Amino acid sequence: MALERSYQAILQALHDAGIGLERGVNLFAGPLRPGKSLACFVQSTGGQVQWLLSHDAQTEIATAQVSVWSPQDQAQAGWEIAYEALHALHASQIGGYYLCKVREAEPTPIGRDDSGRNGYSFNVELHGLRT
Amino acid sequence: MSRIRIELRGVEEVAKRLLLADRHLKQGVAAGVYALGENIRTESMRRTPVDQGVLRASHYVTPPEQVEVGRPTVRVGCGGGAAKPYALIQHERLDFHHAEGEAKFLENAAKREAQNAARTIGKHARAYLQRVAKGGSGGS
Repeated sequence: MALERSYQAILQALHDAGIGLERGVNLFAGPLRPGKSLACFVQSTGGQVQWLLSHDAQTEIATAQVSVWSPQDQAQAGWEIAYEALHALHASQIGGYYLCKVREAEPTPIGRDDSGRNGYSFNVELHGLRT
Repeated sequence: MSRIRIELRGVEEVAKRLLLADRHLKQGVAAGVYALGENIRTESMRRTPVDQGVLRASHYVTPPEQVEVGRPTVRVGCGGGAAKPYALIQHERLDFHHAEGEAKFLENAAKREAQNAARTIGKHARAYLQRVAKGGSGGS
């Protein structure tokens, strides 16, 4: 099975998770965009390729950052959605990758954006075999 | 009935050399892991956003320790002391625009240097083993 683009796989998994994130409504690919409402962004942050000599194959580790931004009066709601998103992704199998791993135990507060929204982020690794 | 008698000489010397080689190999791998940590630190410092240089100067590498048997470990990090309140934010905020440096500076440095890990560690392990081959007595 071919590997999907990592951010697409994450976007779809979050959309399907039933945690109130919907593609194109409050769930977007790419960098943070200005706004006043709660929103989640998935951005690729690169990755690595390693040879698995024993399998004569390459393993690909794609990395991405998921960030959730919420207005100050919904700060806790933002953290909760980030937490739900983290647990929806961690240890899952999505987009043809054999492992989706989240590096952090809980979302990390990353300050406020220009609109005053509070941000929480976590980092995702997608492990897959290149065929 | 004929008998063949074989006498082995120098067995003790061989055993001594093997033990020495084992010790040197472990030291070489630990030195290699430390060198890898230093490479990550250097690359991360090069990529760190700079205002007054506090975050860049906060980088460190710890000496190798045996956290698990046969697995020397070093820690590479930054963001202690005066840089603590903002280090994580500078690292994680992908929306910041930096005149110098970038987000994910430490992570990107580690990803880059991981490609050279086997070569770096192997180089040091070889150098330590060559000491045994040349008849070195170990130490350090």
